[in-house]
Amino acid sequence: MKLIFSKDEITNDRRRNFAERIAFIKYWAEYVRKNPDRKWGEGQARLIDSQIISSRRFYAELAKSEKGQEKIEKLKHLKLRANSGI
Amino acid sequence: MKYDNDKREIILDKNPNELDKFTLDFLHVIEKHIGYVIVSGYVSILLGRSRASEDVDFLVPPMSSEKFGILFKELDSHGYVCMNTSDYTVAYKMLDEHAIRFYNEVPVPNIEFKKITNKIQEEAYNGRLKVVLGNKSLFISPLELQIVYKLSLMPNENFDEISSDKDFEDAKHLYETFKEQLDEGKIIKYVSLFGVEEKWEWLKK
Repeated sequence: MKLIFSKDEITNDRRRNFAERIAFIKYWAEYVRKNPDRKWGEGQARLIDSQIISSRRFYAELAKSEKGQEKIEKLKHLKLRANSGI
Repeated sequence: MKYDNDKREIILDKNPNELDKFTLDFLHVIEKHIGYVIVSGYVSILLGRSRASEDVDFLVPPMSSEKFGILFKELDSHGYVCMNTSDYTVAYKMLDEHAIRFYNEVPVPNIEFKKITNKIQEEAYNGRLKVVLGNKSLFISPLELQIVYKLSLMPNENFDEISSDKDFEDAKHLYETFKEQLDEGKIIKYVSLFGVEEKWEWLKK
């Protein structure tokens, strides 16, 4: 059976996703306004710190692997290219 | 979070997260040498937005090659690696064309270091806002400019076509968090300068 998605279905999904994301931002901003900085900062830190810690772990593991330094150099160049839009 | 618009100051009482510490460590090295203003995504994150980021954007005023050389060497002595080049004369020339990036130990997160080259960036620097975080402080772009600039970065498509947009969401967070303290006159002026009237109407919804 051929799988077909309707355009309306995709558009509705997109709209719903956007609306839900914006609703969360409003909810979170109100939480930030109404709660002590230390309280919202704690939740925020869990999210941010986990990204940075896993990134450090990733590079540490990569450095130990075969041709790890070479791969890290390649990744750096890929990042620079991606950020410069080349 | 206390925002005093007259004093151009925000007082934050959160424990710094890893991205805050990374940013504070970097500016501790550079602020002895040059002024700066932090712009873009980290401004929203510092002020509570619930997302992470790979980089922090710094704008700095033009400086002489000698001064930049001293700064570059000091960053190097603190373990910062310039991702683009290890030669400061090359890095200095690059600043005329694009940003350069610095990291410490691992390439993520990193600092996007950019020379001020246009009026929008000058406006961000001249109107910078002080954020006090514990016993440290840092300077960020004025919120009104930051919000409207973020709107200008969005693609010019119908809002029905957007599923998610990081720039709109960053602007929305700042708007919702500070809407009672923002200078609406300033926002309207920037909205007109950037030609983002429709996006501004969406932001207020």
